[in-house]
Amino acid sequence: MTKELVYKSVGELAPLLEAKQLSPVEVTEAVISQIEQYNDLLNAYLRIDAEEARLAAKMAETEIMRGEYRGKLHGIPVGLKDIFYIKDKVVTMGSKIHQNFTPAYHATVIDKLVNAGMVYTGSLNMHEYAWGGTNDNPHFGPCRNPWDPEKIPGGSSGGSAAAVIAGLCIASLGTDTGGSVRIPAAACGMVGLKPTHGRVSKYGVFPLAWSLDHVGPMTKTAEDAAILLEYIAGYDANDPTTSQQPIPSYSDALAKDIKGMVIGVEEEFLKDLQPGVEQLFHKALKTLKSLGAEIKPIQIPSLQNAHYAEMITVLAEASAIHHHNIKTRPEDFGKDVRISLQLGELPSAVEYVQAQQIRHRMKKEFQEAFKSVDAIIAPTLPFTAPTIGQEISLLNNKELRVADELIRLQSPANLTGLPSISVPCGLSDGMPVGIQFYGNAFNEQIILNIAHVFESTNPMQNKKPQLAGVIENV
Amino acid sequence: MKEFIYQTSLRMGFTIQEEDFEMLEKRLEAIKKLRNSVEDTTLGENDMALVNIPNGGDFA
Repeated sequence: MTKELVYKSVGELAPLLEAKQLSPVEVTEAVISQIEQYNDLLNAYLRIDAEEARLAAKMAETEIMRGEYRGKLHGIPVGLKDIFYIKDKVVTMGSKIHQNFTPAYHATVIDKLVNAGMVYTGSLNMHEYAWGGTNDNPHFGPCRNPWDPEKIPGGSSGGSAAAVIAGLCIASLGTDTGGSVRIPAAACGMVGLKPTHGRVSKYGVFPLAWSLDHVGPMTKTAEDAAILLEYIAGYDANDPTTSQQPIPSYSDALAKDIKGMVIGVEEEFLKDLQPGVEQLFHKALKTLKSLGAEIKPIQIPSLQNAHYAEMITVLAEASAIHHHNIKTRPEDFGKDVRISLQLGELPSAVEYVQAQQIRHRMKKEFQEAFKSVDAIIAPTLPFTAPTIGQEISLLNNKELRVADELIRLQSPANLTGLPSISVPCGLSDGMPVGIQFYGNAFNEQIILNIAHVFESTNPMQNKKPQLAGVIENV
Repeated sequence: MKEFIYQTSLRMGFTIQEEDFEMLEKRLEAIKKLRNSVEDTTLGENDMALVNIPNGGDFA
């Protein structure tokens, strides 16, 4: 039983903890044991706070035994990407430059998770400053994919994905500027939700590119993503981009079926896919139809400009943030991030403004599309996780840059601020493949429900990473 | 291209290591190619340039 606990979801553990049939101490010890056994291999954690986790678990146990159960995250071991400010803890952003940075306050989402009673287990590996999708970190070493340690887990929130799926924590949070929650979720076979821009506060979260950044749950199931979103969503006076829109019960929305729902398909999302990904995508369409959904072709012409708009925006905003350090200590950045930051100094102001014009047009086109569909489906990644260090991928007989391909299908959600969730749809050559559902603004409950219903068809057939026999299939 | 990169780095006050030039050129060239699709797109005065997207992009 102890070993099995680490592979359970929040939704499975919470009722047992509430009913006092299971202690947070038991769950936390199981997670710590898993970390001790596999972190050297996966390099998912940058810092393990085992003793603090034990104390927090004991406190949660005492509170629950006293009848002071706080809710579904009470006593749940949560690891966090090393980009969220945690008071008096070193937060590195995966960088050398911030190796001794100790914030004086909690990020708003950290405050919320602490109040919910989470058991914090430590900080998780990430791409340096979140500026990349591989999590091949030059300062702390690459994080590895639990399905195949020679492959990337995706990034930038790679440590979060590797830790959750390998049972080194129960749930996590990531940040997503061009897919950094959904890329690793797809590459590691789990759920990643990028909520609507303004749904979750970014106060105390180190930025990559302000206008594209989002915070989102990374979990084993859509239900867990709904649970986490309920805790972290909401207006924050410290983050002027947050919304006062009411927060629905995302968990309650999961009870619904998807009969009669209309799901749009845009051809632009289906270009240059690995054959195995294409096959599983079409299989997913069939599954959705069998569940009662209608599949409808749609057109969003500005998608052809999405990659340009994303690149110009993220390059310019990230370089503005790091401008001082790229001038004064370029050698302290890893090579790929250094080049991206220098590259971001080169586009013209006109290009940046035009990129924002494209975003505005794209938003209008998505708005138009959502008049006739409930969600839009797309593959999350065009390929399964590439090998660590791989720079080029052959797709549709074209040699394409891996770093570009990682974000190609996801950046429209960042450019428009629309919510998007990635959910596993099967395995191709033993590696996970994800599909994503785009939703209309502040309609996370709809895409969570579709993901949940799709997930209930068991597309992964209960398979879990085995790390070549190292991690047991439970 | 190399001259443009060099001159911009001088203007913006950062130094590029010699080993980084080749990669920078390649990546700038890739952006230039992506831009071709934008040059073909007619952006008008009604395509406003919202630098930030407040509250989910004014969808509500």
